Amino acid sequence: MIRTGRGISTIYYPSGFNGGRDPDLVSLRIKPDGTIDVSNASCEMGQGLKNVVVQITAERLEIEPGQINFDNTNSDTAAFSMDTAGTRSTVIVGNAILAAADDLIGKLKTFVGEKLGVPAAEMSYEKGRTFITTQPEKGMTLAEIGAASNYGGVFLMGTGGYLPEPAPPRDPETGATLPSKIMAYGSCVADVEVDDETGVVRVINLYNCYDMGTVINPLQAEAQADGGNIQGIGMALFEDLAPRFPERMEPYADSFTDYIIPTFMDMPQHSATSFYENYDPNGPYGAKGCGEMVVDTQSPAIVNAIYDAVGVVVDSLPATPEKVLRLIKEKKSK
Amino acid sequence: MFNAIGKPIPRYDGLGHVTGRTIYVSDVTMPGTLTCKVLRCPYYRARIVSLDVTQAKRMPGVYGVITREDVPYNRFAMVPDNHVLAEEITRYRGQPVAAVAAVSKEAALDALAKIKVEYEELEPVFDPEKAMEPDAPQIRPEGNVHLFDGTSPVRRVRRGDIEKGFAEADVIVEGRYTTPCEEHAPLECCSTLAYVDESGKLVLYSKTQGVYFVMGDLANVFQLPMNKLKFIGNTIGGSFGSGNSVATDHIAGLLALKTGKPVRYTLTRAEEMMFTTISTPWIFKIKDGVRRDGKITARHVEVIHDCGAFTELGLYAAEKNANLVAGANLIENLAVDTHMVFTNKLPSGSRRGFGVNVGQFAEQVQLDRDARAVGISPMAIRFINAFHEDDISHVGNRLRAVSTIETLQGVADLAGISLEEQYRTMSSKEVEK
Repeated sequence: MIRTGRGISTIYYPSGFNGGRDPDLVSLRIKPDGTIDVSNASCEMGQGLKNVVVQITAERLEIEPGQINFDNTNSDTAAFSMDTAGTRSTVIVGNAILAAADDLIGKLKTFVGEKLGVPAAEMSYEKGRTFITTQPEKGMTLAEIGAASNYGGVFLMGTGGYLPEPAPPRDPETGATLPSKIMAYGSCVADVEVDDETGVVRVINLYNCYDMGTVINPLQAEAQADGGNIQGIGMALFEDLAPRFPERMEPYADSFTDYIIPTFMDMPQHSATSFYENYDPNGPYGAKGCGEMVVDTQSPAIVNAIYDAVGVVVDSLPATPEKVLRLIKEKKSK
Repeated sequence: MFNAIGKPIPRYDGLGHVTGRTIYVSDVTMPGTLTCKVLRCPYYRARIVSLDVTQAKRMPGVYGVITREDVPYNRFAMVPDNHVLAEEITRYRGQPVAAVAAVSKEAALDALAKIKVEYEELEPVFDPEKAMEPDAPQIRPEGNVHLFDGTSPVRRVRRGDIEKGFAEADVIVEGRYTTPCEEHAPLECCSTLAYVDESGKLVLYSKTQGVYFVMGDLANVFQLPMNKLKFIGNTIGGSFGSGNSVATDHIAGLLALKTGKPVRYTLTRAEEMMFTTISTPWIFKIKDGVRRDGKITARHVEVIHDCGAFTELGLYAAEKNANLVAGANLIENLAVDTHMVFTNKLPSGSRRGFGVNVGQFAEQVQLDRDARAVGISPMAIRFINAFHEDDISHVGNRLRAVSTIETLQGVADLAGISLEEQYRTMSSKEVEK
């Protein structure tokens, strides 16, 4: 018969490389029409980096996202990026953008100030316009600066970098070190149905609440959480290249016939995600990063829900029907 | 408060992705491109007695055949102990032995069939616990067990007094947890289009997820300065960590340098699954001392990380895991003992929260066992042990912007769970007296 169960998990996840020391650089250039080129060699692999870059840049320069172009296309032109991994890009590229934007704004003030015969310290920047602080009507827009600088033979480029605090040498006895200054948090509730005659587990509901700090783009954060749910269900119930390991490595999966990842049939009937935006002063605008955290909560919550349903602990992932059924039989025979 | 932050702006590249306009590395074509195919060792562990590519080189349509003799520097990866092309001893099934660039896939496969390799099959070891035994086949000259800091087979975390903590406990709860070999499963398989441009620069259209993460490594393999090496890409069809390990860039680049022609090396789905880095298995043995009120007074975690045949990202994963495996709980008396072991399977790559998600599976299932042992709810034990603001982490640094309690409250709200008063009103900012 079908038995239902509910399980909980709570996890935390560091942003950036373990131990820091993973910098990124960003450059911001102004085109003749005043639009902005952002350059950084991070990879877009579906996670939504490009929107994060555009939105953080737009926020700092107080301009519309549509005025920004992102170039990560090749290593001859794009600024250095340590890697695109470790839940690092939002925080590290984001902080590098803020540094580059501040540098650009300083250069805009100098450029416009020289045109108007006023020291940079007496200039202000607001919403794409650089002007004399005491005479706001005297100034230049980004479009005017773009034309005047490029056609005037002046290269206005803002550059910036960010280096996460490097960990001290790890103490060999206590292990004391610094994994990351930024930690994101998440908790999950999973509801499952377990068929105690076949061992088949279905995830019915998945609820997650994440603190990834300030959410840069809620559409993307929710989509990433949905993707995380799919991968988390895969890790919990299906994914195993060598199911007979450790006895032997064969059979070994070589196609999606044998290596099962979830499809739409395996999606929960109901899933919901909420965000607790705990502002982190070390992240850009309080963001903490979200990439890997959202694949972590599901497998323990689902395995705990299986226990709640049928009273067995699946301590070896994945919780395949064979394993669940064997555990149920062992429990009955005791 | 914000102008652009927090706004649900549609994806920068979303329309291109869903209408098929996005150009991925696998889509790029170039006139006169050769196809690369790789000969792989069929054994989990073997000695290469002889390797003869003479006949393969003479096959029609073949422009280049390479073995380790043709590689300027044959070691690569984050910890550079992996072999671009196999040396005398192979350590996993599918390890690349030789590579061919030819005018077509068929010509390349025909040439592979003409490569003569004599292997002496050696006894492999797969189970990391067996690999740690003294009489196990030694798969690396340095031994099967990694020495942390060059000296210690154990990577330690120590906090408080674990014996005192266990003495304070009312019950001792033990569990053993394992995770399997897992695949990244990106939509786009690993792929490289390599060519030498008009200035003599090697250009790689690459599916890497970190152009600069692998650039130094590959510059070393090719023995080229970085101004003679260019990566194009950075919009790829999924990676999930697979793109931190080099699977095609090195071989395609070597063949482009050798032949002077563009070379395409794209893995089939079967090759992607069978012959690229994976999440290798982990074993966690957790022993907790728990007080009647649900407080964990002591925890000992023994970790065994099966790193596979070469280090790749396995050492990084073991270090990160050790820092975080005790979970988002304040445990005053803690010991973590991590071992990393080499076996004859694919190297440990980065994958979807690697090192961390496996430990959190073990820790969170153990926490439910703890709760049952003292008769409290799974929700209660998480609130009772949660980190608070300014608590010191397991490895000695102060935690800021802590949200275990608040995310538990948030998810309870989503799931319609009514929390007991003391948990509903609890805050990470306030520590109970």
